[in-house]
Amino acid sequence: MNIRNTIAAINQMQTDGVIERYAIGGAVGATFYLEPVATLDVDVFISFRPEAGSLLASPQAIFDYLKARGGRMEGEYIVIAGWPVQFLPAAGPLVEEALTQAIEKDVAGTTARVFTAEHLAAIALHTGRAKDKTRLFQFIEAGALDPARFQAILSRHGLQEAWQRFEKQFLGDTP
Amino acid sequence: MTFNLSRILQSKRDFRQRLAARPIAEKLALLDALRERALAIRPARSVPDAGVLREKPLPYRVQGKPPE
Repeated sequence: MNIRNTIAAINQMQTDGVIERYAIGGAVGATFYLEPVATLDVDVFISFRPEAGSLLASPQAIFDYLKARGGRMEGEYIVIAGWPVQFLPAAGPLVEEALTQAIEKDVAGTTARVFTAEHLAAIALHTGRAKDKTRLFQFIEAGALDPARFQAILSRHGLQEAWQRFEKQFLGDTP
Repeated sequence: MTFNLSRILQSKRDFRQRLAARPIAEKLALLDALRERALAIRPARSVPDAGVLREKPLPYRVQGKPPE
């Protein structure tokens, strides 16, 4: 089990043209900015390439590619280098923007494409589950966000009310 | 060692900040270790869905185009 090998395999998929563009999100993406938190899977957001002659995009090409290279399916996951990976379509304007503006990070010689901290925080606010709110709070507490950039994302995607509710609920007594 | 709660909380914050500041390769190695530990202490699954081969996943909609 080695997540760096998982990232290298995803890079190879991009080099081989199986995926056009990808970015790591979720808990693994957050680890690039925060302390590591236990997670069982890797969320990889991608833009799907529609198959020839079809209006619909399908992840079948990804499954076929990885199966041919020893990848194993587990439910909705594909296990790569011991890590279950979930390929997710960049659905909605916020995630599409996050994918477009994702940044490259060097992991000891391996490049990883990752959502920005501000997009990860905005997606957490938008998703709004308990663990997402925890993650958002961690970003704030760690001072990992550029406030102007974060507020601009919230404004562009209509998340200001959600942010005000979050602030009132969780940041009211923060020094 | 202290029983002063504010100092304990500050100490925890400092520790988390030190973890966050470690090189990303180290943090990813920690993720590997955390996942192994989580799997080790997780109860065995009662529903035998692991290993199910999903040959024909649902197609995703292409941006701006309606599904057929």
